[in-house]
Amino acid sequence: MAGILNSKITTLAQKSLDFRSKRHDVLASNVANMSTPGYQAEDLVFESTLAAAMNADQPGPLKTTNSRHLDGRNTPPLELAQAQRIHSAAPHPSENGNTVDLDKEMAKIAENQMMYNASLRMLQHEFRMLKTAISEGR
Amino acid sequence: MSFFSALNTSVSGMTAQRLRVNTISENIANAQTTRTPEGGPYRRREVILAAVSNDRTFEEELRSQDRSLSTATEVKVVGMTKDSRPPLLRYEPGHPDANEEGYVAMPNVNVMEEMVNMMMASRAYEANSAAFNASKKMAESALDLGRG
Repeated sequence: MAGILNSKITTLAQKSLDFRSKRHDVLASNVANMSTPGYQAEDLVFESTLAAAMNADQPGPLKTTNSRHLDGRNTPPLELAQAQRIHSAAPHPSENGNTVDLDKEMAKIAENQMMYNASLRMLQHEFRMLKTAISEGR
Repeated sequence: MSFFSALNTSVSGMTAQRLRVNTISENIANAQTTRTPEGGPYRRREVILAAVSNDRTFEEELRSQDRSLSTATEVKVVGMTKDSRPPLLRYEPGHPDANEEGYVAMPNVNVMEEMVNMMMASRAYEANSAAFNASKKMAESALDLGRG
């Protein structure tokens, strides 16, 4: 199940990097379209999906006596977790129907970038540990 | 490729805003122009922006590994319109383009309005360039993962 190269941390970091770069796409689109009439600001949410998927291999609330029984849990495993695309409308859209709030978008880009770097560092750390093990601590 | 689409999106925003600034300078430069090739005073111009999602065709979608979301939406200049507001009439009987009553039709350009639009366009350009730099930094740090 969890081998040395596909541990849960590696999969989580990989999934998180994937989502962060997609979210960056969406946020960059919002900034590019900040003066397009009628454009609706969008965002990707995935934190809750990822958190739920982390525990997807725990047994569900129903008792199973056969491997083909369903255990009543319907969270997808980490590998199949999907982000949701939502409209992140500003409370006061401008008169041309555009709902992009530039300050919010720039803050989101900065936050997303930091979280991306955090995931990257987590992955780097994981690899460094592997390397230490492979080289017998030398 | 996800990163390059984010870069392209920011670039499309910068191109659109630059074109907007060009149009605004054209309006300001011609704020007093009373003669144009098509006759009459100069009319204020404005760019039309549209959101273009770089959606894939059905076949591309079917062959693609990742069919969840096509995320990037670029901005495109789809055209240029002329402002339909009537020309401003100024009383100047000595002007060669004055009508019988002594009024000259001046361009419908409000310089204050143009200045405000220009500031907005230049801020939007800066925001796009900041988003571009963020994508670049993210891609660079991902590349560093392969080092050491």
